Amino acid sequence: MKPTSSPTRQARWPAHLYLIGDLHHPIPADADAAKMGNKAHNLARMSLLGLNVPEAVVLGTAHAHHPDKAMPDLFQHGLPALEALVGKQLGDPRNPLLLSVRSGAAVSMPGMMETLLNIGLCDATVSGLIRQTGHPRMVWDSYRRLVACHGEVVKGIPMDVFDQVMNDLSQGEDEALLDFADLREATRRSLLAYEQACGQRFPQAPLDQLRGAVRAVFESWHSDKARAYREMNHIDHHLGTAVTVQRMVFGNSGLHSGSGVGFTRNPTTGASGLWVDFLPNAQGEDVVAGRRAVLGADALSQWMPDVWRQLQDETQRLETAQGDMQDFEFTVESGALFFLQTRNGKRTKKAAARIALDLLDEQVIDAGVARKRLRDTRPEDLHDQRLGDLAQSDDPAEPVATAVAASPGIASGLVALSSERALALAQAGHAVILVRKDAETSDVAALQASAGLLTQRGARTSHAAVVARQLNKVCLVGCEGLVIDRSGAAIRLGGTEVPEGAWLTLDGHDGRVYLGEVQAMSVPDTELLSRYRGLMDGGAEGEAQRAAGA
Amino acid sequence: MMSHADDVADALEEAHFVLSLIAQTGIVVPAATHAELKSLALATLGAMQDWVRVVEMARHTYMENDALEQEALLKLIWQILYAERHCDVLFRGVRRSLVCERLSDANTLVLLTDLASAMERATDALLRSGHALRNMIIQRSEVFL
Repeated sequence: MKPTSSPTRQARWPAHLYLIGDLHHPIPADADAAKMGNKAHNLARMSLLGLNVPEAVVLGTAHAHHPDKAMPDLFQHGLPALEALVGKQLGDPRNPLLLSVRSGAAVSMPGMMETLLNIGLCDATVSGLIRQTGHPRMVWDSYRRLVACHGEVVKGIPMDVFDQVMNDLSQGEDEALLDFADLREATRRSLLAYEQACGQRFPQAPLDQLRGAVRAVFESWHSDKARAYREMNHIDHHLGTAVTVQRMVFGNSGLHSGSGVGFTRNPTTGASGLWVDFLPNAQGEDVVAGRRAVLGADALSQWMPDVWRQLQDETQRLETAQGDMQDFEFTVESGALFFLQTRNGKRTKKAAARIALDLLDEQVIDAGVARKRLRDTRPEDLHDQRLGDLAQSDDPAEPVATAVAASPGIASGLVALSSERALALAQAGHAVILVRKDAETSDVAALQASAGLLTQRGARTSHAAVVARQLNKVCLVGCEGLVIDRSGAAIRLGGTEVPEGAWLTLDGHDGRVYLGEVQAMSVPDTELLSRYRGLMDGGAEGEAQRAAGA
Repeated sequence: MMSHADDVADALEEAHFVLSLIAQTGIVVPAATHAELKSLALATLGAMQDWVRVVEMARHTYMENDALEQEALLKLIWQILYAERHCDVLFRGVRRSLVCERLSDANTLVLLTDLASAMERATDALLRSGHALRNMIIQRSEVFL
């Protein structure tokens, strides 16, 4: 059974060191995002609510400018307490504790600082991780990535050195085709390359790995790109970053494991009820990268009914505590549910209106907060774009394929199979439907220029689908009937071939795909409009009365 | 144990071959059958991972004189047993969905049934291999304890 408190934790606990997940020693009330970083602060809040988060120890932002002074605190207090809490030890060959070391400032600086994963993986612990996961390919891939990442971030070895190792092994083929024996060989060659490049062996002692990683993550605050980002965004250079050392959990440890991403309400319509994408036996990256077709709430409720019930209860609690719809990530490791992250979820304007009005009715927020959230919403934002009445048409359009609707609306445009083609067509003044195999964030510029996105794979919660919703683009994902023939510059939808440059229409409400251009019409959501007006007019009347009284 | 493990590999190779035929011929898999096949593939993969975990545990000598280790190993073998039974049920589900779809194309029927059958055979062989490994561990433990 998992311990609820760390027996090694002593009364004289150092300042600016925070242990997340110790139910008997909660984080001090004055430990805010400025002191422990925004992400760690959110983790601590979830833990305080009684949600299961992977245990972590946080070196506060106060250490940012003198990282070496933080090391005794970490190794004498933080790490032993963390090991006791998790019930595993760093370097244990049978059941090793593996750690991520992440930066985390009070303000978000996405991608500007460093992260190291799988600290603790070494020759002695490889077997232990295979025992935990039954996944030798993933283990050797993680090990060779750790060697490369440690080499680059801690020792300053150019990543090209390690890329060359993979290029030599893959011989131009897709790296995904390499099996566990290839990746074991890649690890062996990466270890050699590491030694040749910096004159030192890759540290096989997990404590040395951790020490180097923590120091490097603190120092990444001072990197040129991080400094430039802060200057661009007027962020104070003196704030510094915290460093979170967190237990790693593996969603790909077998049938009773998995990963998912969800929203506490539908981010497209605002309807209540969990909106979840889930992949059994997979890591979180598999879900958000959009390379695999995910399963929805129904599948999760059948696959792991206990986890599903727990997820429903706990996300409800989370939303009420945060006072807004949440976008959360979770992992199930051998039947145990862990929350990895939560934040206010991005949503369409219509969803924002429904969510604010529903939260007001549920007494989670008051009328003032609801009005503040809707101050930029206009009544026309609460209209739906719908296909014209197909039954009344002389030549009604027939859907040729069905996909998963990820962002609402109707979009018609010319099919483009690459970002370059989409940008060229848009520049020439055409409406464009970007059609891709995967929803990748690298397509963001092309997506901005397009009317809609259709993908063969991916999920509603993939990065690109999230971006599509933010940009108010129609988006359909996971279209299993879609085959893309890049060389033939065409797509096949069911049995119908559609050349690049032909017209296509996407219906973001029901996920249907139509050939040609189909007319759309604007339909007001009268029920929502009435509630919206009731709230906003009430606010205006109240202000008028207050003004008259004054 | 090795002979049964070889049977697992053979069955999975067969499944891979049938899958490549399905991709080449471009046959359309009905949605309900696709869902059943997906569940069967996931269950087979999960059982394979449990088997790899068992082998990795058994590889080390500390297994032989540690009761907790043996208990963990027996639990995993139980999971493999459960997966084999579960895959039997899922295999029947694939066949049922094929009948319900009233498919008339012989290629589709044969290939989809062969695919499901190969995966189900893999879990049968996994179970036999797991049993052989369990017997080996128990015999060795008696010597050491």
